[in-house]
Amino acid sequence: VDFSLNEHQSVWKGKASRFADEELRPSWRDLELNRGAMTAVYKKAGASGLIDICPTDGKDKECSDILTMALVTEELSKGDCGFAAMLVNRYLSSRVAQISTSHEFRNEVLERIANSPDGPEIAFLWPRMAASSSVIEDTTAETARLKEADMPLDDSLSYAHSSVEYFVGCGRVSHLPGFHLVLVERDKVKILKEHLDPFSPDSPRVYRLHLGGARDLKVFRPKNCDRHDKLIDNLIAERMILFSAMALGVAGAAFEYAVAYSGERITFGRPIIQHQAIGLRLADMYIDLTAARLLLWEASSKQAEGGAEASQMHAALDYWHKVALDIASDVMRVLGGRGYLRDHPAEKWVREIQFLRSLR
Amino acid sequence: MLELRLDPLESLLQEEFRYFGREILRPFAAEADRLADMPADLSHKSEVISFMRAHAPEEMSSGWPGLLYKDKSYDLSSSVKLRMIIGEELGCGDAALYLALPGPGLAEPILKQLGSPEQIKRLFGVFLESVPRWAAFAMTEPNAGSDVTAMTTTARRENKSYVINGRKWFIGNGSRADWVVVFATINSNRGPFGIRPFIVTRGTPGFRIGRILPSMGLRVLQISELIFEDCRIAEDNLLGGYEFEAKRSGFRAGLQVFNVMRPVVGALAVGIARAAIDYLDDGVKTDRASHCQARSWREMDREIEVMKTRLQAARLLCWKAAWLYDNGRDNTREASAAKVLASRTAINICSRALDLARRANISNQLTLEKLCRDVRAFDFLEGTEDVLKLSIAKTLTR
Repeated sequence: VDFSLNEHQSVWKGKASRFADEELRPSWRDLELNRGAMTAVYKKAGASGLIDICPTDGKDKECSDILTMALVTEELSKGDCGFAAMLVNRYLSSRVAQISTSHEFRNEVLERIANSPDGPEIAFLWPRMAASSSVIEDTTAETARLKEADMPLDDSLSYAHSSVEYFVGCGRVSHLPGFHLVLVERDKVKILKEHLDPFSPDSPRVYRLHLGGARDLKVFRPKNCDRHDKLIDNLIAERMILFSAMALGVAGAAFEYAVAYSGERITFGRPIIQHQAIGLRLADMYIDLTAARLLLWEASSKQAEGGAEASQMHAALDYWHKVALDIASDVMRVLGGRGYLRDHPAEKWVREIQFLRSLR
Repeated sequence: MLELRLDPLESLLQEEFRYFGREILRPFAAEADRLADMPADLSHKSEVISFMRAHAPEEMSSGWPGLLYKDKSYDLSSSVKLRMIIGEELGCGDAALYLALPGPGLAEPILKQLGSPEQIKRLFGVFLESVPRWAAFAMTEPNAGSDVTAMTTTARRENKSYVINGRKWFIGNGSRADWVVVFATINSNRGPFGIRPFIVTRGTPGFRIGRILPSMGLRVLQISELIFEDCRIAEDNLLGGYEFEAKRSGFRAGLQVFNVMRPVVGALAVGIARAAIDYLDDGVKTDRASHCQARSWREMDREIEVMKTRLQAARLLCWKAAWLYDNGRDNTREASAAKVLASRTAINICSRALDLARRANISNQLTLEKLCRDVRAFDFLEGTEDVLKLSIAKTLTR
């Protein structure tokens, strides 16, 4: 048993942590409310090399391992969850390309990612997609092109910036076995609802996109289906891990904020952390957060080595998101009435975790 | 580098003690609970005697001779991690019996840390015999539990001896111990700096056993009350020196014991919960065809998966606390956190497992009921949950 990180992981974690502290955390309000602020931060991330964690400049260059990515995601989420989501989208999109055995598909996806180094143009779709098989022109080809038709991509969801240009993902296409990889351009998709989550009433940065119709959808189905299904299962598991890392990152930020606040806020003549009710609450948060984080590390390690059992992963997913929401809710309570105000980020963290829970 | 699995040697040890717990302890669990005493058939078993002897320093005892792999021997106290592996496996076998097994128990770490060569030889020598022997660790008092610095037991220096007066309670194996590490103050004005550990052997005039405290579970442990009335002991029974030394202070050493034992106690709780899950899982598999609707079984499978996940989170926190200690780093906060989370999780799991077993009317309900009683003790063993959480809170703003 060893809980120390290797050099690669430590370097990336440190880089993400610094970026979160210097660029994201100080401007949390701007990032939520001001579209321009987010674009500027993306440019800085590109300049700092942070987005190189999911490189696109060579076919053989692998993304960083899932544990490193989870560490980075958690650190970035402490600064801003929306920003972390964009990096997660890039990472997962790169992974889709990497597991694809179709050079055409792979190159196209990687090229699009590479050409958007400082922007949130790629979003990852997850497998709730359904399309009619009747509109697939050629299911025997490695890549099939769907006809322009009523493509019922009902209830397909993406967690993406409003300016998203492409969707990359995997999903089930009805009447066809297994999962398919998908690449679709934004202007070819009819977005039924481009609405904010109800928990994020005036934030212009993160959207749930309900896709109601699509044209010219590129669907990829490899010949070696069994192996491929396993790869896509892994991809879905990685998505679960990274979304959980985001939730725990947000919870971590909330916890640190609560500790700092309760050391400074004076009631009844002393800092509120010295009141037992607050102290016990903070200790509970610390315990639960630490344990959930270790479980995430373990799941990531297992995933990197070939994948955990799906049932275990789902149970863990529930656990991570419950811990995260409990912590964020408790942080609001520590802040008292102030926690409800948008002067402090506590209410934002609750909204974000609630949102992430709805996406899992 | 991050590695959250046991290494091959640790896995062997785990296998050894899984066997020990299931095949040697568990068959006696119900009887021991009923008797509230250690069954003689168990305490005289060669494996149990070997386990007792293995707690002496390696140069005296040559460690733990393997049960399954006889060509290997282990120094069981070489790391907190090994203690935890043993704790979880024997806790899964039967935690009450594990805690009540012959050996030095909690007194071992402090004696190894503070004892002089003569004291170590004399006191551990007891455990090299072929009959069961026990030792005990006496810190808690009726009015000084969590706040141990409020202890009122005194040690008065007279000529070349100490005279101890006071009352200790909640002392595991206290009624059967050959010798006891007793914490007493040599100067009540100096608070924790006045507290020193002493060795008192059974039969010393003025030392007697009070009540064996009737308890909900862990009955075989015989949680006892010890009474000291003008109990005179020779001066060579002081552990760690009379004058205060920052690094070898008796009180500080006592607290260090908690940093070692809290992750171990957490692992024990994890072991109990694992046993509860195993019993429930076995019941589900055995009785699946005969009761309930398939939907209920699916729900139960899912509940079991959730339990396992929560238990794994608690286990990892215990491992982290042990890893920090073994690597020479301060683990005070993590040790407390590990113990709190493990005990809380284990209590919830045992309770839920019993509910589910009753609802589905599967077998093993009596065993689960015993586990529920036993595991409740872990709420306060080695520090109550609330006090540990307050100690964590104090460290958060540092």
